[in-house]
Amino acid sequence: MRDRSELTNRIREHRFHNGEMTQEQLAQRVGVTRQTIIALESGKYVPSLLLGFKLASTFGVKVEEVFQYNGTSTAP
Amino acid sequence: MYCVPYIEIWPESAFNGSLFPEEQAMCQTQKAALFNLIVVVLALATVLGLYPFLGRGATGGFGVLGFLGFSPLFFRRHRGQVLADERDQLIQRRSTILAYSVFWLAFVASMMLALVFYGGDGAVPVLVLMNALWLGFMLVIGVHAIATLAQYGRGGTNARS
Repeated sequence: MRDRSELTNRIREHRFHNGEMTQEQLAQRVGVTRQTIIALESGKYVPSLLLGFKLASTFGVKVEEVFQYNGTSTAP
Repeated sequence: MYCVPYIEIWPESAFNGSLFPEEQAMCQTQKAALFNLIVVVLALATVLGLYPFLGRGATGGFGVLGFLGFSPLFFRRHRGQVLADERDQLIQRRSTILAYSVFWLAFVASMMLALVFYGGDGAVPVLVLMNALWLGFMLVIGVHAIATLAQYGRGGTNARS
């Protein structure tokens, strides 16, 4: 059955709390382009696990504090 | 979901030195895809435009595809710049799969058409083969570019394949 998961994030909020970091600065720190950060913040791109951990590590928080899983996975 | 200070997009664009909204900024891969698409369209237009005047000689218009050699210039690396991250690579991979899948379908269709036009015992002219080669090349480049731009336009794709 189809997975109806929904992933949201608080990247923009954490950027603001970390010295008002710009998207470009965050992109350079985690090794991606600014367009990817834009897509992440707008919810149009779901990052890989590695990128998720890099973002959380950059902000000094856990992954769960950056990304929130809001959906319910359906059992097969 | 966010407080008011987080919603301001224009001030951030100004801070980043961009005159356009941040959503309109193109990455290197987008620029290269757009350039390739323009070259392919120009080549096709040149051939079709010259055909009424030059006939078979219009196939020289495929030489416009030589400008595709300039697309690597979009990937000149500057200090600290990320040329292609995981999202770019995923988009490129999907675009490549789509482009060659479409090419394969077109190739099979062209073989069937050759059988219809020339018969089982017929001979396909060399010029037709050459044109098919160039058109196939343009098809791959064009579909790849369109798929790339379409995926970026939708905001990218998910990391899971």
